[in-house]
Amino acid sequence: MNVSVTLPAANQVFHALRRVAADASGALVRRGAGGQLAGALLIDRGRVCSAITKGQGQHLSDALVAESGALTPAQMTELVAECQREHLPLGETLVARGLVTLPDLRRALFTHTCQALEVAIQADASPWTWVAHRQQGYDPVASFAPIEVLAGVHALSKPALAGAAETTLARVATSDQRGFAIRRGAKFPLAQLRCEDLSLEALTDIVVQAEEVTALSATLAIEVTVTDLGGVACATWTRDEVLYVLLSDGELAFNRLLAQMAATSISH
Amino acid sequence: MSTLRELADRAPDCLMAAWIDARTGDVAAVHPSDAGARYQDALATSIEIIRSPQRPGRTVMLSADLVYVLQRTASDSSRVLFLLSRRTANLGVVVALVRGLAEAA
Repeated sequence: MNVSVTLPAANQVFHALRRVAADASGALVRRGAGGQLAGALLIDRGRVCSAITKGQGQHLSDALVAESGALTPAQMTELVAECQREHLPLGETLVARGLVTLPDLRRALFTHTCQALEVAIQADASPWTWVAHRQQGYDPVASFAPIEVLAGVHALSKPALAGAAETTLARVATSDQRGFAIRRGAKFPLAQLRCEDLSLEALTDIVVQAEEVTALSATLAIEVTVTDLGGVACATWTRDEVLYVLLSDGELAFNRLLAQMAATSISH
Repeated sequence: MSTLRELADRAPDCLMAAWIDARTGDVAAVHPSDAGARYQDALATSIEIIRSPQRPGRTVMLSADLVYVLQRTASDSSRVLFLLSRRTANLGVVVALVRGLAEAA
């Protein structure tokens, strides 16, 4: 799927999610000109559970069939009807019956959420508003960090660039490091690796600083910058139109990251 | 021996060492004395980068040939020890040296 996500509209989601407290539960809601629901993003304790959008072509059941490989659309239709009749949660029922694995379920939920949000972003509708509620209880396995969802939505519009960024992060990062890639001038990432715990505030601070240093040092042909963020070492570099950030924690993180970046080819 | 001279002596690939006042953007001292003119762009850019109080205490920038180290002192974060060096095989030693001397100053 290759669609065009307009950055200003996508940035509205980013700003709306940034305002949601880390432990808040509720929904971000958009309404169309007639007041009807255009889209909603359900949040449970700061994590995105799902997106609901009027006009989204693919249902969650379609995504589950695609991920499963073992389920036919007819079987899925039958199971959906059974779950509705018996008031059973669809995802848990599929996993319990061995029809879908937990990673498959998570991937299907993620794909469906990102696609729904992408449709909601494109809708001509009001700004996002926050509606709090107290209901909680989504399994963390079935919910996603805001940074994951934003990267997933961004990747829908730039799949090749997102794929290349993911490959670069996976190649450069060691197993204990986190990182993300962001298109120059964008507010939220194109790809991320183990950054689920990174707040959108922290991400913004890192990006603003990295962009400023990159702009100021342009005449010096700097390849990579390593900074000490107080217990977290941060390496940043740019390639094509993408800014890469790699974060390393722990003892001697700064020296280890510096040595690693000095020895790593980041130019290709 | 001054901190800058000691830094230059102990970092064999050192091209320039300087004390920067990040509050004013002035160079308080530089070693060797003519390095400020020879590496004017490197110094001016580094000052611009560290002048923002948002910059962290330690920043290292690598180009293909050079290393730029900016280290704020613990006692006064606007006082910054700057080292410009050739890319050396042992970056960790250079960075630790700058940090140690900045902490001791």
